[in-house]
Amino acid sequence: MRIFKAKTFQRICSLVILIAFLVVGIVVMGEALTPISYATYFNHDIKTIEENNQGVGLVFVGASRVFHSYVPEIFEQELGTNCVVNAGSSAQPICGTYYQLKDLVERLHPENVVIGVTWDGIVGDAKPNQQSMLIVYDRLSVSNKIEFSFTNFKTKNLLYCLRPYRYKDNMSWEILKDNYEEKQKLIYNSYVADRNQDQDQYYSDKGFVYFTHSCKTGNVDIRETGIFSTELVAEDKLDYLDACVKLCQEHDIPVYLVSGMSTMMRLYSIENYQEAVDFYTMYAEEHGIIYHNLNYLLDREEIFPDEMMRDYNHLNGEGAYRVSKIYAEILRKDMQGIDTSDYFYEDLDDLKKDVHRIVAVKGDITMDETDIGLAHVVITSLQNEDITPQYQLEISKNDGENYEAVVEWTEESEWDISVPTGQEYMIKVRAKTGNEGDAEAYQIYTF
Amino acid sequence: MPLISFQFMLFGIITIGLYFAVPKKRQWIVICVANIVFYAFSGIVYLVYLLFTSLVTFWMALKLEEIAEIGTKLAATADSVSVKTEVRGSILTVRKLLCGVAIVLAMGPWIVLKYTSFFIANVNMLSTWFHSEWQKDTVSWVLPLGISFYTFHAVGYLVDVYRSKYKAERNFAKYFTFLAYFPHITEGPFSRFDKLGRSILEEHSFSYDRLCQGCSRILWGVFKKTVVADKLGIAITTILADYINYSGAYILFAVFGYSIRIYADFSGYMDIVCGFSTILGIDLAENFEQPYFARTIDEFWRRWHITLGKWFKDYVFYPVSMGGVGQKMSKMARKKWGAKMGKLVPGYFALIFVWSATGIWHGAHWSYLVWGYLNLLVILSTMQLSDTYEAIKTKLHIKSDSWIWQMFCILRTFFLVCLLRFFSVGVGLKAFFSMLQKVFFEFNPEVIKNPILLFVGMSEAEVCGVLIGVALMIMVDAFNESGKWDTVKKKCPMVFRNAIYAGLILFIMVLAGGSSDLTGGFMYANF
Repeated sequence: MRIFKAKTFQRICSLVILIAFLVVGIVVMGEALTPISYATYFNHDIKTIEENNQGVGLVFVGASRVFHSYVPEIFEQELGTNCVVNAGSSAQPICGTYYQLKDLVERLHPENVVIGVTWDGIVGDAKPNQQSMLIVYDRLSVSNKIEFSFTNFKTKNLLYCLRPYRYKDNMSWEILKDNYEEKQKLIYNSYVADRNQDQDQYYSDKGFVYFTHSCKTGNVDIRETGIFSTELVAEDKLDYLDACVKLCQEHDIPVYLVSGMSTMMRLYSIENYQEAVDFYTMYAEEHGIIYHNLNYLLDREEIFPDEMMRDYNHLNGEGAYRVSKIYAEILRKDMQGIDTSDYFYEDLDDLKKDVHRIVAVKGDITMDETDIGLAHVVITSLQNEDITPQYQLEISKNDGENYEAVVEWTEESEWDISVPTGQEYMIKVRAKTGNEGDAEAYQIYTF
Repeated sequence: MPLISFQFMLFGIITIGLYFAVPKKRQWIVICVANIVFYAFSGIVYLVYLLFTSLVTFWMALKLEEIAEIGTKLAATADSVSVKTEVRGSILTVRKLLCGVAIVLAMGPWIVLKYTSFFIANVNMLSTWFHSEWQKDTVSWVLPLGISFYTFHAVGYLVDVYRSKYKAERNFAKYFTFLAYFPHITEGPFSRFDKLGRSILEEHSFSYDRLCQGCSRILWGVFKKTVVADKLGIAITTILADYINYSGAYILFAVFGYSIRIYADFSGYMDIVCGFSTILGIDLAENFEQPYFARTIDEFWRRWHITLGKWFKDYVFYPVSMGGVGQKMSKMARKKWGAKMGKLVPGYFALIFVWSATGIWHGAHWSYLVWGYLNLLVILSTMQLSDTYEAIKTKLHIKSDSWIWQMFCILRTFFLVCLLRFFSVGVGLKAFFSMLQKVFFEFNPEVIKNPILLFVGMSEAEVCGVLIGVALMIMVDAFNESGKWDTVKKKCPMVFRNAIYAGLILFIMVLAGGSSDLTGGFMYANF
């Protein structure tokens, strides 16, 4: 019996030592191989909040239209609260939103929660992509990491939870050295990110990421059109949204739903967009919570021109500050029980009444297979139904310095045109309404 | 189902769990079911070939035994010695015939599927030589999983029963369990029914020590395969696929690297299957005995793919050398060249068959046959010139047991094995001569100043992994060779041992993957 106990004890020790070595190895290698990401800054911010025992007045969760749109300091000022955290992340799936929220509720006990919802985040059976899941995974506490990965990851993708495996391609002396130097710099700078305006984006504060670049009015490309229908709403995704709301209600945390701002192009290009808005409006009513769609802010054409956008779907930094000021005010009034419907258009049709331009234009240009100097062009544009667009085509042979019209303004939208051969050139597609003063839409294609 | 995959890991864990959960008498049934499930993953239709071979050899073995028993009874009841002899002779003839037919039937599918294309290609070539217009399209049939291995197992079983080495198995399911034993069906080792079959059919209790031994051996095998073999394969495959654009230094590196790679790959596989079998309590024969520590080519082939060598020895070499033709040749050689040659010639004759079979078994291509015959040439010359070598060593005062001489022999043998492998890298005779020309006339030693360049297409980390892996393999083999490995393992402090295990796991985690697509799974499965 003694021998048996001694052997068992030895075996247990051996197993414990093996596991200890593995854990240490995984942690050390993971640290060495992992590059700095927004999660690095975010996790540090959350840790600081926890250590300082700061109360958290408000937490945002959701996808990229959350973490690029809501500036924590503005909400802190407007709401008079200690701390606001923006826990949005890139392409955050609704299951990720739930676990992120659960994690923050457990660790920070926020007083209010805003959940960013989108028309496409709730539809379709497609599984969320692995990278967006891992972004959320990296921000969770250990217990939530385990639960999240085992309930939502495919078995073969579980290995990616181990950072040495995930970043094994970084296994080179140069990258290890760079990682180490970057991390030393980070510590030296107290985790303040480099706010370089030449970069496309940078981490600003408590989860908010500032986009530096801007679109030009009328230059938003027509992309990623889609369709919303209540029939396409996925049960499992709706279950997670329910779980988010229930989690907040169980902890007596007021919860709000918000759809973040996107370009006018998106509102025009998504079929049944109003149905998506109605869906969330009804959902909010059924659950006794408030929902706002910031795309419907009054006078948004004036206040949020395309220059406030970084791309077809996200506000840039300036746009984020602007929308944060407005939404913070709305949220404060919501919290005080004041009606805020005056801030918004009634619906999409109501919004469109104030849009007097070609919202976006796109040219599909295909080269003739038999004649290399010939191209076929088909133009599509987005505008109100009562507008008849006019189109023009121009070509530049000198890198966009000068353009020559090849098709003068016309209501036709399809042509065969001659194009230069043996050199680079650019084609500019332009669209306008018949009214002077209305902004033009255009796109430039390089060949 | 690849041996290194989540699927197999899950499959293995379930099999082990069920194996020890069921009553011990039913354990073999768990293996039988696992065999079918494993094989079905490669394609249910290929199960037909396996079942055909199993049924033919099972049934024929029973018949052989039955006839032997009948013959014994008849002989016992015979009136005179001459009648007894006649009865015995007839029975022997019938059994021989039956055994021959069974072997043809069992090997038929394998020969047809594997060698038809080779046969057609050669007939087409002959037709062209003789200016005939007759040409046939070659075929490209998918070989059923493990056909080269289970066919030989089946034939071995049949011949053993014919030789009355042991009784034929009466239960088809038990025989099938042995034949289709899933850990060894893809790459061996070649097993005998009296050893492996009995081991599978025995009852086994769970043992924590065996679990640890098995797991550590599996870990070592996975490390060798994924960190050494697969990664080295990146550079080797790249160089050999495009050897025209690489200098002789690269080609020589690729050929030496190929020898290391094939050893890491094959022995890695062996470690995985033996480790798995150890957990179950089933004994599998070892296939390697530190082959690159061999001092002669002959010794090398007794240490490399040991079970294949033993199979050819038992079922080709002995029957040929000790059969009628062998005996006749022995007599003739004794008359012409003396007693010594009288003993050696039948062996030489049998070796021609062995090496023809070994070459062609590895692949349906002339390069494999040439490789086989080159090995034979080296072995025969070593045997024939052994006295001369001894005389030279004595004259030069070389002590056979001195470590310098041992090292020289080991390195010489390794170099020779690598050189002979030029053929078995499967690129053909034309490519071989072209590569040889590059090695001697376009060597370009410049690249040796920066040897990392030789590891074409590999990252720094992968090169490090390979070098550390090879160093570890040499160390382990050196300990095994000196017989000290078990002592080292026993005396190794627990902390240090677990640190090594953790290190191996981390290496695998960081370096494994990404290259199997390029290098095509376990190499010997291609044979």
